[in-house]
Amino acid sequence: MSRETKSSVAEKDVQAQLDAIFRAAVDGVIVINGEGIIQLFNPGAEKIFGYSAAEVVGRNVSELMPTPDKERHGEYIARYIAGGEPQIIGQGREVIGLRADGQTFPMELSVGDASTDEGNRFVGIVKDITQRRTIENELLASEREHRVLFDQAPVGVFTANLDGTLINYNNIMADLQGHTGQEGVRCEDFVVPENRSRLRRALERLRSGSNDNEQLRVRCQNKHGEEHHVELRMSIIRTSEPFIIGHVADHSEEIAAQAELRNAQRQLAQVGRVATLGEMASAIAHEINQPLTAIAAYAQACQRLIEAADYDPDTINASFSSIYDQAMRAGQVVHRIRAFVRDRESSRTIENINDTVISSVELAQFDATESDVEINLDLSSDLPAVHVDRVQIQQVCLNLLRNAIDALVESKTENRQILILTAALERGVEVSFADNGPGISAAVADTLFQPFKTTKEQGMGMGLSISHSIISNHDGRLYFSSREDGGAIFTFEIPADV
Amino acid sequence: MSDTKNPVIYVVDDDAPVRESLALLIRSMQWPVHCYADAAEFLENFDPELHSCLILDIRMPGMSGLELQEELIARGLQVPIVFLTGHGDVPMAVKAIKLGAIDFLEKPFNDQALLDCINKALSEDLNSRSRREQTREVENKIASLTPREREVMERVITGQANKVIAVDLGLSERTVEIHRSKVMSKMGARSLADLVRLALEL
Repeated sequence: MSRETKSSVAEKDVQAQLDAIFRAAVDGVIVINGEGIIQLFNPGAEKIFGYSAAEVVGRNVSELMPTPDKERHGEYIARYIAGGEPQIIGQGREVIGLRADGQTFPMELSVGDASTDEGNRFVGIVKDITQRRTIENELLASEREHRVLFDQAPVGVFTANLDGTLINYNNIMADLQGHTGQEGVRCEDFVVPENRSRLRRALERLRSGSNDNEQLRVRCQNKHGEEHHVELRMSIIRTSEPFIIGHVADHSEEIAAQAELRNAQRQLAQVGRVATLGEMASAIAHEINQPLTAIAAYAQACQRLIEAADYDPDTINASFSSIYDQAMRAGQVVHRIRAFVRDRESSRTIENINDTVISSVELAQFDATESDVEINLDLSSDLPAVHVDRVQIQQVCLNLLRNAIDALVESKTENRQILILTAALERGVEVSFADNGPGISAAVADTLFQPFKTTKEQGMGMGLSISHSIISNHDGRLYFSSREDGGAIFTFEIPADV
Repeated sequence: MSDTKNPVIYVVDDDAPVRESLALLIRSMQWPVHCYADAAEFLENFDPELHSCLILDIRMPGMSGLELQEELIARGLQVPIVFLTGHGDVPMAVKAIKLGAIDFLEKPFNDQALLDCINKALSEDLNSRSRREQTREVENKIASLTPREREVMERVITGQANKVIAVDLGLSERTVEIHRSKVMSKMGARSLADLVRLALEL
């Protein structure tokens, strides 16, 4: 075969391939001459513009454009051919096209030029971007919507890189943390130092893929130094560039309310138990009174009968038996009280005795204020922990406090004061209650801790006796001493655990 | 009429030793005693015709002393009550006194206090019995009046003159005078003041 023949065969092949591309392209391909007259119009272009090739070939391409390009297109070509700067050729741009039905649409147009034997030829490639525009607009709207949601959310919202550096965060987040709009802020900068390692571990779990969501309660400190309790939820969004989206809800008020509730309940429970002791005391009084009443009545009846010399010996004998029985009955009641205090299920916990003292003072504060008594505390900060039944020790403290208040009120002391002192012992703690009342006489002091000994008009004489038993059960001791200026001091000691 | 010479002392207390010792003490004071362990038993056996008083425990299971007092009042039974109280029962005792109790004895009590209380209660019982007796007599006298006589008496004791009563009832003054003297004699009143006093008994 000749060279020429070979080359013309090759040209034919290339022509066939170009033809195939021209026909198969989804994009519109339009070829015009130097006057703007359409030479070729591919099926892609037919579909975009709504004209058949037969309809437009031979007509000016400006018919595919709306005003003002329509009128100016001739000039554009002339300027380019005259050597002017190309506006479209070689760069492509977005322009508006006009379909056969008169609708305009956004399109991307790129143009190349070629000089042929028949003069200038321009090839335009047209891509209908209507759909892309719609999607872009929708995306933009959606983005705006999300931006508003993000900024206006009632909780803190943020996005972050996997290393925890914040990408974006809203105002609430900024308020929580204090540095607004700074670069390079990290998630952990938001939380108090104690919580940071926990946060880092959560981020690590998200990164490693062991978890897609993390939820943790942490504390944040804002720029005013106020602490907030927040719940932090983070989720990883696994796209080609994974990131973390998180939100932060402030639970401070809720937590404060819960704490207050718990506190109130605890106090109520304590008051309840104290009241129960009071009721128990009243029941005991009744139980003791019954045999005492019988004993007194029997004794006086016998006395009367014997005095009147009008009796039957059996009656007197039976009465004495009854007196004995009733005395034993009274004794049983006392034993039962002791056993009650001793055997009562005691739940011991490790306590700082100062806390116990303070809670007792809170319970007695109302009485103290009502009675014009000032309670002063001198609590050692260096006390060993003790293993005690908190409620029982509280009752002892409360009892000693009420005794002191009663003594101050009954004696009409001026400038009524109680000083509570805690101190560390070699192996334990000591708590003393000193008042500036009249003190206790030696005679009374001897029987202080015996049951039913009382100097109070409304008293039961049970308080110190029970207190004494409680402290003894804690392997401690409760004792009385006098102040030099005459006031009373009650002190109890409790050994610390070895 | 009840036997005012021989009173009976009722004792109601749920605690047997207290009840029995009290009974012995009261017997040693030469009074007969009737003891009951609860309010219901007492209500079953109580004889309002007897000259008596009641020693009542304020705290009892079931019907308490205070509730028994209220029940007696509700039934219109009048018996002077001395309450037995314990520690801390003062508010209840105050209530009992307001409802008409004679006194209260705090347990344990001495015999003299009991004796004084019983004497006080029995004398109150006599007084109230004689008041009730008088009331009953007045009631009987009023019952013996004719309806017309009663109408006249009602106006006389409010101080209306015979003339006014006559106009009011559409009678002659003379007739009113006759009714009036009948009322005075039936009621056993010697003067207008006497009549007013009798009417006040009711």
